[in-house]
Amino acid sequence: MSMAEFDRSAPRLLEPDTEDNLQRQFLENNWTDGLPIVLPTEKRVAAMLAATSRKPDEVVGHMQATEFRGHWEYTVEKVAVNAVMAGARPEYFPVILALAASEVSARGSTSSSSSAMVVVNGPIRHEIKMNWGTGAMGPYNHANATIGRAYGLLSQNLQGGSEPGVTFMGSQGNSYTYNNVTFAENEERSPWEPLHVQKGFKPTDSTVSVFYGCRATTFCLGLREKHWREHVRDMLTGIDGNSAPCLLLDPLTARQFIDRGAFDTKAKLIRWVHETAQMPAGRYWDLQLVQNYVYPWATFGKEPMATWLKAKDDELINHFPESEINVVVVGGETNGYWRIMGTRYRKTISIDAWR
Amino acid sequence: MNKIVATPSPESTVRIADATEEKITVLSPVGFPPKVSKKTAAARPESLNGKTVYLVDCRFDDSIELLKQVQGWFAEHMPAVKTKIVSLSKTYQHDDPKTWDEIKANGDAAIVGVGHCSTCAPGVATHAITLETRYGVPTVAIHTDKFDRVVASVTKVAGLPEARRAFVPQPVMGKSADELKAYVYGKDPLTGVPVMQEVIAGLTTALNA
Repeated sequence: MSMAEFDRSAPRLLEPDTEDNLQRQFLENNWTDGLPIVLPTEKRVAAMLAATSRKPDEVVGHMQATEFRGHWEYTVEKVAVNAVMAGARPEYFPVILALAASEVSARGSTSSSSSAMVVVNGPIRHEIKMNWGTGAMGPYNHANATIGRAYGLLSQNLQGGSEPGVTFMGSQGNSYTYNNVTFAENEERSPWEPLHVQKGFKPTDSTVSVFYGCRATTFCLGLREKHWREHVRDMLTGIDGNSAPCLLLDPLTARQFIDRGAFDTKAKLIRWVHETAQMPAGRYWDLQLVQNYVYPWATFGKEPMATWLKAKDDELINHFPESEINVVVVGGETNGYWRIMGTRYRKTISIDAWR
Repeated sequence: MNKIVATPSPESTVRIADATEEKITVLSPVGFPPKVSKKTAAARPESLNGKTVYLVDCRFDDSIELLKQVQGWFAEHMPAVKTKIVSLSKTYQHDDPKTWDEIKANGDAAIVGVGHCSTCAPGVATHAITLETRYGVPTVAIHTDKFDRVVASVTKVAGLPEARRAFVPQPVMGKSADELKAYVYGKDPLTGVPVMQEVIAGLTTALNA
């Protein structure tokens, strides 16, 4: 794509107006998430831009609400405007730029009402005081809250909108999208290597990983000695067939997985989850989600789906490929609660590249 | 019971008044849209008699089941028209030159359907415009009524806002053959015009007529 393909004729500045009128204008134009925003004045946007070495007019990426809608283009300054609106502090800006550079929309127009999930790893977690402990996935930390909100706002405004009936068709919607389940991994209390190291980065790198889905969630307390395997199998059955399981483990439960199953690496746990998640082939292929989104690929010969298609109806298939399963450690050890989120890993982006 | 006292101080009242009166300048939060280049639709035949119409299944949900009812309508009402159902060789999320080449070589017109999800409706609309503008095949897209504004938006960005389309009720998924037949033989819920009347007119009437 070249700059010539994009229309840059719209004014950079809006007509001056009062704060109340501008708040109303942003709301009525569907430029917000329905909540009040911080108005992006030139002074505030300049402060945000000062937190990166990148130039304001540098192209960060292209995004669309879904295939065939037409990609829109955006620059560092456009991302900064949305970061200000979300209430983010300038020191968070490299994280927000990395999310924008992922080109994964957090406002995808899927009738299934997906949400993004954002996991931050590395030293930046300390620098900007993110939360990976008690309440990390809730509204108790300014960085977690506003980075996730900025990701949503920049997605809808930089891709050409997220308006129900036109550019958003999620039938029920998804409240996770208010801040896109944004948290940091609890690397210090995890018994395993962090997510970004699994994805090929160094422990000293700062990264942000994007997942997409977050429709099905199952949860549990700890792992009982007698039936823990069956209990996890039951949880995996509750994850929809078109997503992949991402285990979100409190550190207490992470260590319990080692005690119960001797999973001294995430890879060993992931392999066990793959081997444990089974369903009779006939029942699997009769899922509407599977018919719509997996079956066509099986008919084109894509593995392992093509092999599953040859299975007899009562034959058990391991329907979550090992390569699509992920494990993240998060939580404050107030108890051994944990959950499995049905969400597909998309990308890990360097934050350092956007400092 | 605790009492909540909500009397603002004089200072805060003054600050709010000032904030609402002062005019400030802010930046636009909107990205840069793709430039739209106007496209030209294919020429239409005066009649479909003796012609071959391809019915293109986008492979989402029960699209092919509805297209079978469209095929049945032609057999019953316009037997001089040959119809052939084909499924996309990939998913609706991908362009399909192999299928478009076959339709251009062996067909005279096409009906693509059914656009009835957030991505397949834009996909069906885009595939129909591709057949029209790059392969010269008169094409009508069939969608469900929930996606009318989505389709209008997509065809506008694609440079052919007048692209022909007809709508049937939502949902198609899980409906019986008789129910889908009633959709096809019935009226477009948005225009009140019989669905197949819209389809035939879409394939035989110039887009600027």
